[in-house]
Amino acid sequence: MQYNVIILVLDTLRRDSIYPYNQQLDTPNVKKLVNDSTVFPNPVSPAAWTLPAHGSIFTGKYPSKSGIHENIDDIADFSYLMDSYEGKTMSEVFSENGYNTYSYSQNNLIGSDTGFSRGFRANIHTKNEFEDRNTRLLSNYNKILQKWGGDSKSTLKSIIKNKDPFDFGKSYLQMKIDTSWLKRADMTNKGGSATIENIGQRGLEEPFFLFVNLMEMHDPHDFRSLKISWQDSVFGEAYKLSKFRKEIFDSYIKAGIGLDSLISKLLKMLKDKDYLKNTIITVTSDHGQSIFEENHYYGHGNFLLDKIIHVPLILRLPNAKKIPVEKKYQSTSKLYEFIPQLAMEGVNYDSLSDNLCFSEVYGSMDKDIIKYRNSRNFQTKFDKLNSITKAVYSDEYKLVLDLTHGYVDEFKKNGKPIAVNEHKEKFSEMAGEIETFSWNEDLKYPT
Amino acid sequence: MVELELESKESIGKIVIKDALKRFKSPTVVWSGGKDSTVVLDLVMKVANEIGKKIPPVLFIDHGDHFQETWDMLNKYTKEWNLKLVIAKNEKVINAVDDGKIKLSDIGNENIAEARKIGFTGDVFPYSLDTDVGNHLLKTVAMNQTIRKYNFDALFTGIRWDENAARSTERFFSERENPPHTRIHPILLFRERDIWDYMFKYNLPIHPKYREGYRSIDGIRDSTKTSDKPAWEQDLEGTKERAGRSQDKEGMMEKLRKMGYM
Repeated sequence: MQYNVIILVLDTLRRDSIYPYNQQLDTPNVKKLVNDSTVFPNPVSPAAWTLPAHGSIFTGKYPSKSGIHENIDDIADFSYLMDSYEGKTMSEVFSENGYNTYSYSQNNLIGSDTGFSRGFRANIHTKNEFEDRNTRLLSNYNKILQKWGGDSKSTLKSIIKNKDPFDFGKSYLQMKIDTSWLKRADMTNKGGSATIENIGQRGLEEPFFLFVNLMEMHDPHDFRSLKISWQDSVFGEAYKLSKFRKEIFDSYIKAGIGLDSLISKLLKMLKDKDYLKNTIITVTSDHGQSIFEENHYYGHGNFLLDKIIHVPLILRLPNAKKIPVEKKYQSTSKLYEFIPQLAMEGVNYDSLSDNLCFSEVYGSMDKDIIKYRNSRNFQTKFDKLNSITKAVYSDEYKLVLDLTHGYVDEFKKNGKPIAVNEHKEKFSEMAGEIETFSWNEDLKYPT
Repeated sequence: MVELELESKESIGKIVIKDALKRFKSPTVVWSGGKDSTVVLDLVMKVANEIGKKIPPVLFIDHGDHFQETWDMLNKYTKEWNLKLVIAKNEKVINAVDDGKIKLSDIGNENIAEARKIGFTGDVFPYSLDTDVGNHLLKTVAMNQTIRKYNFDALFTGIRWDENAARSTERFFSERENPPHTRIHPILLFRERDIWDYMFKYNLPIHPKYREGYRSIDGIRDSTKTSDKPAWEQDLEGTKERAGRSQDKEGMMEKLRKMGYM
């Protein structure tokens, strides 16, 4: 028995923005999929951004164990991390077992440039002009801020002093062109539909393992959010934009509703080709997105906030069979063993759920933040970004520790903050779990 | 027969441990409070100290049927040696024990599938470590769940070549799948006599049941005394160490080990 497998990562989709985790959404096709699926109640991503989160799905290991993560000491060259991983990736496991393996990724970070092509027969990076334009926009925006300053007066002074009006003009013009393009574009359509059509046209040879990353939920979601980078939101530059939170949030949800047509298209393609009865479909995400909910933070990648690491996990088995699931935590790193077992051994039980799971970040991905040195509380915020931070969920509790500085970032019960001195035993048990998990790392624990 | 000196066996064990502590990101030491795993733990602590590494977490498999003395030892030395203790326990199976028996219908689909994998075809089995199904569910499955939970990539265990034919071909490093990890066996070369010599040489804590005449300690209902003499005074060379334990019956250990047992 060899079922086909599809893993669909809806990049940046947080758990509360898809049916049935959010019951308010009118998405009939997602509902149809969900009705035929097993929905896991508490899936958690082991990391807060694309590369380590995908690394965990593909290797079955937390970022600190696979080595696939950002690094506090230098700007990591992400291209070698996956290549240097010594174990087998999920795509290699499928490939070695006779599967035809296909990867269709819209995310530049998940493809042959970063070693994620391992084990795939076909690697198709489907064009995502949104990401290209947005990346270039942010890069020019950051360059202007860093090189010439944040306001027109200091910019003008700096251009005259450095005698580089041409260089400035080039960056400024490109920024304007990209902004204008992005403003006019339909931000709920970032190429997912074309990607699914592409899969249908190129075809799949059974048994197949198909990995798909679609970027519809990735920012920007709204023309106001175009120029917000996560650095801005941390260092106060985006604070003033938080008043547009509702608009930005609504546009994020709008993108979430837009997923309905993608799901419909995917299901139709599978049905037309008669794959549905023989295919396992997993719908999940690599991470979510904080939309000014906590600490005015907009983005993902640096903090282990619930909005960032709570992801969805919907599993459709052939013939819509369901498996009983437990109300525990499901780390998406466990998909590595679980999915091949479902596909090749036909297991019918939930081996994902556990009363304990972890998530971790290894500092900032970007050292450009020094440009914000004049912002309020710069040092505190800088320290916060440049920290190894780990979260543990245990029963109804969550603990997040900044292990570079020895701070308690979060201690919650049922989502509500609680005092350490009122729950000393649980606190010490959970801090102990992080210590057990982090053997031989040079970390500072709160005293 | 010419044998390596104990000191040489210790050195070889330490080389294996040193290599493993440098190589693996997330090892754990399986510790039962028994003599072999205590020797491994002692060697690991010594090497970690020598090379400036923290002592890896210690994994204890709780099958629900331990002597009180085992818990006492565990609690005492976890504190004294400042160890991080992880307890692996198959709660679903232990909670299903009723009058010394376990019904398959009470243990959940994952455990049922594991029982079938090891070849059990019935509906009820006794709460015992001396059946393949009991041993597999209470020890191996619990251990595997814990390996997954903490992402352990290597397990130090105290198996020895002279214990059982099924263990006599093991290597220092042995790779496993489902979940993927490596077993590290630093004391393969030790004979039972070497273990006791090592225990006395370094004054390691001895589980009180050995003094009462048990040579191998596990679950209360499955461990039997082999003599009234302390274990180290028995005829170690002329009689079988694990005589009272049916895990060692012909074929059974091999089957258990194929399914992931130590």
